[in-house]
Amino acid sequence: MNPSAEDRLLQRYLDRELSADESAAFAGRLLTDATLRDRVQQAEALRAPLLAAAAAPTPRASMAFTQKVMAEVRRQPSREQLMRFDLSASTLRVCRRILLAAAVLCAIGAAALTGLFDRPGADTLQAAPGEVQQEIDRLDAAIRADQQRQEQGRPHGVPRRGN
Amino acid sequence: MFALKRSPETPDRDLIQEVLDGSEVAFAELVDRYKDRVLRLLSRYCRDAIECEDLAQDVFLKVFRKLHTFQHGSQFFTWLYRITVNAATDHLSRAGSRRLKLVEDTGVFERGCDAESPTAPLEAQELAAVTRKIVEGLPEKFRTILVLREFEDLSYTEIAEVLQIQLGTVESRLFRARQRFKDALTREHPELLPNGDVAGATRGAKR
Repeated sequence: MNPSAEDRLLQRYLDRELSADESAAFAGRLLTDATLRDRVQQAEALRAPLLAAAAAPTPRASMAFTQKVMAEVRRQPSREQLMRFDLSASTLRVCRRILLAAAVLCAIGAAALTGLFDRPGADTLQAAPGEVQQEIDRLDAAIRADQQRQEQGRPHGVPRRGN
Repeated sequence: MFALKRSPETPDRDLIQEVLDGSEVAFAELVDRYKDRVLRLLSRYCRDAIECEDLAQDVFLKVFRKLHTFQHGSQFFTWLYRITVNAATDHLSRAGSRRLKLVEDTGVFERGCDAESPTAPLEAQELAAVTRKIVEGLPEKFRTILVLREFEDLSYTEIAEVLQIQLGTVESRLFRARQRFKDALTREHPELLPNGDVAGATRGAKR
């Protein structure tokens, strides 16, 4: 659920994120708007557990912490080397991306060339020999019927095409 | 011991430049300056004190290795927090379900904690423990924004810098995180909700 403009305003008021003018205007509204006052009170009360958790004791670094970190730091390469590593790492990242993109394009091209993207049987007819013969016979019959119709309808003396 | 060698007012920017020029002492001061904050932030993600310190050490090593990439346009601590949050979330994803099986070891932390802890009222401690558990159960992005706002007291602008998101996104994510927190509190500990808000929270949960 996205917050409404009123929700955002209330939240910013409680988080002390309003400007002095905005805050004063909001405080003015609180004096007259009981519903808004109620909402603010509920929101403040809900924050009590969070405030309790925030106030709970937190760990502190041990006395030797800084020395331990510095001991590790001394094992690190020099700043110049670190910068060079960074540069070569970023170059390597760019090269890897280019290589990856090239590999993907090559794979797509190879797949297209080998006909991997063609639908099987899209440009071929597959049928049993019996079915083929049946189809030839049907077409022959259709042609014969057509020729007969033409002969019956043609006036005498008109030569047949191709004769 | 390193911090004694330098004025505490030395700005981060100057220290960073000195580190880049090869000063170890300057880096030790940066570590001294921020170690407790880093450890505190990491402790919101990791229960084991030793694991936390190891993580903090990794964070500072990474800071040292990457310091030349730091852009002075933002504050050093928000950059440091970004590295810390990333280290913590990486740690969580590596630990996976293992973290759910970890025994609560608050005693380990308390040995190195503020002196006021033994006098803190038990009720507040229980409330804090319950809240911590609920926050830990939230999805990572909601957990992180609540930690940064409620526990670390960062402003919206600072949160936006740490998480590299827009201010509007900070507002809406924070709103949703609080809704999720409220819903979880309603489900698991309705007695902790302010009077009369159970119904409202239940409505929120159904939305």
